[in-house]
Amino acid sequence: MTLRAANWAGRRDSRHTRGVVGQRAGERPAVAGSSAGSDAASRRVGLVVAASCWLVVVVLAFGTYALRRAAVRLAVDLTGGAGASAFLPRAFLVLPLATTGLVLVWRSKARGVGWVGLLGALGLAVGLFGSVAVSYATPPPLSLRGAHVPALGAIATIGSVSFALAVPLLAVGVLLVFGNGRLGRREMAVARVGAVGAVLVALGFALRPDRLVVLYVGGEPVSPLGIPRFDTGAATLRFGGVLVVGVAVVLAVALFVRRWLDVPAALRLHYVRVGGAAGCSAALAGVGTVSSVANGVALLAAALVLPVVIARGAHALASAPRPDPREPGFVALSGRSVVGVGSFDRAVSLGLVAARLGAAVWAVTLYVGFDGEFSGGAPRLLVAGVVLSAVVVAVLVLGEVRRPDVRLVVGVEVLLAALIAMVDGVSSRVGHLFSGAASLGGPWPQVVVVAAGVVGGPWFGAAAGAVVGFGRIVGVLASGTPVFASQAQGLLASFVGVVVLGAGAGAASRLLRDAEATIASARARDAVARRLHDGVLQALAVIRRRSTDPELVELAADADVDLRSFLDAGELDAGGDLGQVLRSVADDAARRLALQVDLAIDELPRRVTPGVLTAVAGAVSEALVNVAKHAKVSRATVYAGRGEDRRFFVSVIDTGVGFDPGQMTEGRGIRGSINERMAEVGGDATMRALAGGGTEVLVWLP
Amino acid sequence: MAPIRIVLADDHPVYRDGLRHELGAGFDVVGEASDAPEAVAVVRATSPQVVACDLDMPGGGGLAVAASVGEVTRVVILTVHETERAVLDAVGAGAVGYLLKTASADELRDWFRRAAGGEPVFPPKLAALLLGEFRLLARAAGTNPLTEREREVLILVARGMTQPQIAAQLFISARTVESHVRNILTKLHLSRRDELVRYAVDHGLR
Repeated sequence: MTLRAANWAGRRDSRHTRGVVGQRAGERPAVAGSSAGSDAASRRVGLVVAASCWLVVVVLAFGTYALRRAAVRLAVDLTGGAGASAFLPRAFLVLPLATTGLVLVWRSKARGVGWVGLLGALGLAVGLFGSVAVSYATPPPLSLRGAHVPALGAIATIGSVSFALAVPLLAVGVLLVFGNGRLGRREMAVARVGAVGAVLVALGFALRPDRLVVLYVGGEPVSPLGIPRFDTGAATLRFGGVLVVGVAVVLAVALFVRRWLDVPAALRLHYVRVGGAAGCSAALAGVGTVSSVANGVALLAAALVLPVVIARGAHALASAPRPDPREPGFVALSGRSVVGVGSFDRAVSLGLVAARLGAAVWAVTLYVGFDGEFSGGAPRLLVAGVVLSAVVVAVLVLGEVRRPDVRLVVGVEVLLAALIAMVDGVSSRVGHLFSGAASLGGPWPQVVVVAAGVVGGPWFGAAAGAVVGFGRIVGVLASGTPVFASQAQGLLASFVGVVVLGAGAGAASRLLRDAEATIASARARDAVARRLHDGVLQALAVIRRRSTDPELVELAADADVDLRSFLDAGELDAGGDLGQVLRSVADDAARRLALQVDLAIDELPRRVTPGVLTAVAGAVSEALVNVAKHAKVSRATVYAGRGEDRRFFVSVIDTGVGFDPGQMTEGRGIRGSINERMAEVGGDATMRALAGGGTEVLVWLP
Repeated sequence: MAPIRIVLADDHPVYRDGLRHELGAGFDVVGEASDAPEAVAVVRATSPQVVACDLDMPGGGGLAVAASVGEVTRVVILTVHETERAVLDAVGAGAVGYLLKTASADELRDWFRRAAGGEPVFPPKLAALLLGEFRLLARAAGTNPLTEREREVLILVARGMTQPQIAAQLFISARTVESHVRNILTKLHLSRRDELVRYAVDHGLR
């Protein structure tokens, strides 16, 4: 790896580096910008975002629906077997996944990642082989006897489980490779959550592998290896697993977006890629585990589009002046336009309304006119008419409200989604919300619930999810069909699913909004700091350097210290208060003792109690006084870091005269008072003369 | 001893004047520049031993200069504000270190002389930043690019010890300490370059 890096470095030509550097330097945020310009920009962003959301959901859902029918027909024609119908569409998915795996192995820098990628690719290969073997071994009239079944079952089981495991593994691999492997503690926690979800999914398949690879015997689907079929349990496990993975993916995307906003421009593309890759993996996992391609696509839309929407909104917000949160322009900016509202100008509003109506008409047509899976004519038409009218009324009403309150709009949307879910419950077979094939019950309500979470936070999202989920339960009960225990469990799981979806979306977006605020204020401070560096600090440096008037020099030095401490405030936020305290101690020493203090902060404890903080501050400033009095130098270094035993410490080192331990009298007193301070709070302190001259005081935190 | 050939790059003429004045007889100012492209051109034309280069200059600043000529001469970054992350970027791009503009004239002369002799200009704060940077790299690669000894040296530099102090502390010669520090810098340059090259490849810049 080092060799390759060296090679690359050797072949580097400075033109390119300069290009990169230029781009990085050019990335500096422009704080200025007329509000009219940013309004127009926000409108554009909002329009693109809203339009693309709906376009993706509607067009892709329709497209894959047609594709799926075509693929199934092709499969039946090719093999003449029903078993292939489950195989072919999935084979289409396995190929890109396998390619990803190989690319990962090829590109990965670290060995561990390479193995993960390889494992994923192998799992996919086995899964593909299993699928192929099973589908070719099951020609019509689908009769298999005795000894063949366990062998085929073994292949199918291995294939299924490794397929299920490969997807999340690949996702982690993608994160590691394209994210430069810089996973922090939170990212690792999220990855672990994802892994738990993956295990659940795999378990679900192990109990009921034929959900992934169809194995028919005598015309009936059977469980390979003779494992008894725990339909409900397996379905719940799979479903729960997908949910957990989904939550992990949402959190991961939020974390990465937060980083994306905070990394140098040169690396941003990696993070965009990571988001995309994670979204794709989630969607593919959805397709692999949930029976319907249309739902997989809906997941894809949600997983791919939402992060981009939220990221773009957050990014625009961070560099624009913060508008009034009730202002619909803000709604569009921060990605809330998932539901397609906002005070755009008239043409844009009309366009959105038209897209809306188009989607509704398409969905209802599909619903009523589809001949294969649905039966019954008149009541269905009636229901469709009611839904269509409700959509039209809602759109017209919302179009009339000139400056709609966001929560009101989303509230109406949620009720509409609940109605759709209810109708879906009445008319389609009982199942959970994520599995209705080509129905209104899938993508639409899910997107609305996510939007509600983004707008109103976790609780609002959860409430919206509950309303939608409840709507579906009401619909199913109203349909009059008997509900079996397993189906009831599916319904309940679906209810919990939408609630968690809304809450998760709310939590993730809240996380993002906090990040936005932090980043925006950091950027503002950065801009101020830049100006001060270029002008005032430069001037002070020149004055200190060239003036012969000692008072003027002292004044300039004071002003310098003042400015620096102002600029540094807030810079050490990540390290907690101890960093601030050390800095002010250092500034103080510079001012009162005429001592130049280099402060080097390596690692700081996350949280320090006020008592310890005071003790450390006292101990360090006493050590600095000691340097000023005895060391006969004008310079000292304060370092904060972690020792071999993982304990935090602060060291104060000077390169002065040092001391003779045998003759220290006054020094012992100072040492005593430093020691006392630290001992009171459970820490301690040591002092020693350095070989080569100088003294070191080590202050150990408890 | 022959005077050290140095180029001064800073967009404030007043500061350049002051600096030239202070460097005195031991240094031969062979060229001056007020922005990054000019600095690169002057360095290419005069091949100095050291470049004293302001961090914030038009045309990309010290970062661009370090990236362009860091391999043919020793670029020392001058800055008024030491906590800037850009300092680390500049050192990663090829500068040998940085100095605060408020350093005394004696200090500046001393450090430029040492930089000309091939020694890194390595204040404690930069060492602390490097420690954090290598921790990140270690997390990315699974193994720490630094040897245990190099890490020890870096921590002692961050704690403010001089090279003789570090040598005494670790029972090694000052020369060994110096070569450890140089290796640390090389590793940083390599890993940073790898990242930049990857970026360039990904964007079709090659």
